[in-house]
Amino acid sequence: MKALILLILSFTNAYAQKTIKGTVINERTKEAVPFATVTFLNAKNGANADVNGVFTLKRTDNGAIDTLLFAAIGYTPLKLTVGEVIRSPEVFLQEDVKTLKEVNISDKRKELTIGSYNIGNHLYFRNNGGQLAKRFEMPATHQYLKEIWINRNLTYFPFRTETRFRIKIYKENPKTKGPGESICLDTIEVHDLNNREIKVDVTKHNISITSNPFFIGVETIPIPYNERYYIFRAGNGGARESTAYYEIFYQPFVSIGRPKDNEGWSLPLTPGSKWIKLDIVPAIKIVVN
Amino acid sequence: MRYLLFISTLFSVFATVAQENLVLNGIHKDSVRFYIGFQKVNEQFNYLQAAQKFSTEKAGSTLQQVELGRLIIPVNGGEARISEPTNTTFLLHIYDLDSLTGAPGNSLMKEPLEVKNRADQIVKIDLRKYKIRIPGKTFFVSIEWITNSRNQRFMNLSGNIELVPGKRFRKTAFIYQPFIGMVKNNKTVSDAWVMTPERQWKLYTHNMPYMTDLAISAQVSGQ
Repeated sequence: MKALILLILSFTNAYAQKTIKGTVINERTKEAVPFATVTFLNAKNGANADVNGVFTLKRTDNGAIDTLLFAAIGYTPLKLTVGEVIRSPEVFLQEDVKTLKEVNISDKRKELTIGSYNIGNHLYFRNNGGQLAKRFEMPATHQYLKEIWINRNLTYFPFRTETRFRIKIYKENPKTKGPGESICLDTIEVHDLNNREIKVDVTKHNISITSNPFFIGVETIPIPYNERYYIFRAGNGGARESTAYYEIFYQPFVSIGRPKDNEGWSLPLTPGSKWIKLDIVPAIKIVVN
Repeated sequence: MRYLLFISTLFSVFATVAQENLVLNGIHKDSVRFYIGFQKVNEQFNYLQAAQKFSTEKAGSTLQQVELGRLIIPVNGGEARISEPTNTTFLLHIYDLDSLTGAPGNSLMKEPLEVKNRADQIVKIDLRKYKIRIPGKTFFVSIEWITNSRNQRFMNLSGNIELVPGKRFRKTAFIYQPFIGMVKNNKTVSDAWVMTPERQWKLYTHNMPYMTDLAISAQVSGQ
């Protein structure tokens, strides 16, 4: 009987030495990381963890001196020796923040369009330079800015349509309730020739919106490329005897609509000027992820 | 045989003429799309003259013709289809190089030429009868604005806030015809000069690097 027990124990021991079992865990949340890949670097074989992060590996003959590579999407890969894993079967992986963002942004199922152009009849912005901004709210379920869409007027005047402008993103200024501190420090510059609707993909800037509300601004660049000339008559409904005035406009002529609450804001080109609440709102909408 | 001789002589004459006449800073009405002479929020344009610098390969050439691009807004370019009077009179100067400052120096004409134009986007000025000889390799063609009531126009300076109820910002300034074009050539320095109200020449760099030259071309012979 003793011999039988010894025989069984020795078999169990041998089996235990031939397999490595452990769990892959998120270091920050202490939750299991499902479907992580575990690979013997020398033997070039391995296995996947299950939905609970549990993996079971069969050791090769020289497996004791091999190294294991733990990898999962959204985590920094980790190398451990077989000995280390046997001693401590809980493997902690660190989140790779940059990769996580990319994964979220490319998830089309979560995309959501916020805002509409709400353009009135023949309304456009007589753009003398400066900035125009619109207020947005990021839903609690979303975080990243994916696309910014701008509608502009091309047909009302025979002006050339090519333009270069910048997009700015701001937090709310708690005092004025208008645009405040800048969220994205990258320069988002747009070049468009003749599109009525301009789509700007901002995925590469990884813009995470963590405070609500926020503002999207269109900054006109008062350079010769954007400059257009115009004459109008003031007073008397444009009668011939009234004075003609020259005026300089800058492309783009963003379409405008009627605002809800404090949606529309403007920062004049005049040096030292401050954001002013408008009774119009620029035709901007966004896609979030 | 005689015909052949005649044709070859004709070709050689054409070739000589083509070699001799050289157009510097050539412009075309479709290539001029930006203009100066306006008061802006970020530029107070109060210059007396604007000059374009030209360089030739050989000294001693003769100025044949000057062309100038000016702003003519199309009739349907205005809010109320305004046919704004475009007739103007301005003065044309030709200057030698001031070798000390690199700016326009002595005048190469006895007196400035008064030029009248009605509505041409490209104003052509024939200078052959004046026999203007350029002593060196560099010279300047300058436009002087005549600030009289005929040339005077009004500029509306708005600051983006005109749509705020009760806060309509409007400032009016005087501007003067003609509004001269600027072009971008493939170079990194400006060859446009302006004369300040103190009659000092200064290099005009306000629109750099987007615009390098005034829309003034010069045709010279003897090159």
